[in-house]
Amino acid sequence: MAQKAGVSPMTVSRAFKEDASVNKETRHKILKAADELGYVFDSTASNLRSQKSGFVAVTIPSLNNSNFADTVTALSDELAEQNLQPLLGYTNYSLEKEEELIEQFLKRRPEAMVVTGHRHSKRAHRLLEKAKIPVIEMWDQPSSPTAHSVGFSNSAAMRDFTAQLIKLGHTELAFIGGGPDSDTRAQDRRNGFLEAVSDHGLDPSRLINTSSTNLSIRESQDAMAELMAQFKGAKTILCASDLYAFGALSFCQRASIEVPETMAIAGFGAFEIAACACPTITTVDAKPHEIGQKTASLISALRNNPTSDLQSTNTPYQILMRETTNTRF
Amino acid sequence: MTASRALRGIEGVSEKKRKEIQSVARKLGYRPNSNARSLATTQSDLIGISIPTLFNNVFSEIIDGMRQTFQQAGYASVIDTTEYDPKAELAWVERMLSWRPAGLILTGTTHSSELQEALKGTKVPIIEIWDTTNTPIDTCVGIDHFSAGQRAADHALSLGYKSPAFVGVPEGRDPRADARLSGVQSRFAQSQPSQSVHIARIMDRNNFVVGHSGTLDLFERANPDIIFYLNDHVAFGGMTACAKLSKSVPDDVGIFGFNSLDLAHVLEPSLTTIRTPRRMMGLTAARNLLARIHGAKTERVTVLPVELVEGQTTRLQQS
Repeated sequence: MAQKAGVSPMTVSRAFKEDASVNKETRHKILKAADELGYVFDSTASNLRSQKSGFVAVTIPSLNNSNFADTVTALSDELAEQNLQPLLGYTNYSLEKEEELIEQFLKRRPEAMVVTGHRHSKRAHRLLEKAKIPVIEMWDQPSSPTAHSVGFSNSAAMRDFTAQLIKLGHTELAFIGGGPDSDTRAQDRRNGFLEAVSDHGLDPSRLINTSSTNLSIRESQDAMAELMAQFKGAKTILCASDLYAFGALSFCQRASIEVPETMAIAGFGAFEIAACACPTITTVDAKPHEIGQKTASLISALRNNPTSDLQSTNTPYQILMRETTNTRF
Repeated sequence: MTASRALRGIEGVSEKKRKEIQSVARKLGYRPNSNARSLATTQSDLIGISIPTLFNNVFSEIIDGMRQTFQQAGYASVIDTTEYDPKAELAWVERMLSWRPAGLILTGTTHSSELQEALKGTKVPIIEIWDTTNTPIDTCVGIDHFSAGQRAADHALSLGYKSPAFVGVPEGRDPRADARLSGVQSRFAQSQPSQSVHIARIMDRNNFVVGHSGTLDLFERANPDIIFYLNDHVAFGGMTACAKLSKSVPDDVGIFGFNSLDLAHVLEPSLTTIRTPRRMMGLTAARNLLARIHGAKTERVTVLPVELVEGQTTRLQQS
């Protein structure tokens, strides 16, 4: 490029940095040469030799979710130690939107790309496969991974959780969330629930699909009302998230249904509200902070060893038995 | 030309036509090179949004309000969380500027002087959201937090409350909350100059903890009849503390939230609070920013109204 523009490489570098010492005319000449050569201008041009952009692209499904907030906070803190800056894109649970974001980010040459979950559009899969940077899928542990992964199996966790509740005597079970339109982790949780229920030969039919992926507390009250009308025998309600569980709990409180005596409720995610609710909500802590930390460590390892085989890092989860399932049988 | 306008998301191309063109582009594997375009016009199809934290539904709802508008116009957005740290905000702005974004959205109107310096001279349209000032960096869309505080105080005064308190985070961490507290103080000072507002401040990222610990702390040294909380979540933490202290709401103490989040309506008793127009704010900011990107002028300062929500956590006091 320097040859074509008839200047020194140093000047080219300065021109891209918009250094004031390069005059307008020279810069124009260089930019024109760059254009003709098909040189992709991006902020990494400020470091032409090493091609380090200093940022890590991260996509998450929702901003309105303290689990992802925890993960992102831990990830940011750890990346800062590596002098990397995370940049967030949020997909609102849309694969199409995710594809767009992935494309936008890749154009700007991140040092690594972190996406949430294993399911992407076909094109996004292709883009990620061809990206010559570490790609990490977090919050999931797919059975046939196509990228590095950090997380846990949502279905295995929910299967385990359900089995433990059954052991405590909860046998008339129902599930709210994880319908076909909802996000994949919620679907996985529902599958885990169904596996545990059929393992124990119990009734697997009490399922309430929820239409929204990002279910609000208010909508989950409606879901609970629907459940009560449809499945009179249900005694223990498992929910794909604590927010649904909180909605279900507040429905019961308004309808004067005693929790946990008449109805037991469990959530997922160990959100703040589950610990603050009265009674406290039984849930599963997915250790979102640890997912963020381990993702950052994996990025560090992969930057030192870019040709590494696919890595999969398991993160633990913890079942928190609390008051909403403390039913006497 | 129409194809170019469609792919860039400029108005004047019908939605149907745009979809057709986008689908053809997709089939052909055409990828508009935003970098090449930014060379030509110093504009890209990227919008940077900076918010203080993900631990707050307010900001996610504001962004929700923007999302569709930006998406329809063909812009992608990247989000940064500053964790209320001006240095983090500055680092992000510098990176964004190196990418020549189409526009930037910043939260609040309080920024470091370095940031103001970095933004001086850029031609990138900037909107500050959530707060308002008469001297925005470029333009702003938000609410007047001081008057929102006054509004809450006026309502409490009209119900006959006499001994106010406030529970929040350390001063300076959330300048908007500080402004609302000033609003409350100004009204109570007018009506009963001898009674100051008792204040409890707790440093914790968990809103429920701030409300819970702050309320316990407050009752150790004061006996307020009305407590204004930094927001609804903090108020919820406060209600759990009142239950622990066997103080009945609203009989023994009144509780006032802020924002009117989803949570405020499902709680029992329902929360008295101030509703903030979060989606409207996002929508207005997004529309204004797009207009500015396309060279149109917009209002420099847009102040949106707040609304009082009367719940069951306050009641008329016996005189």
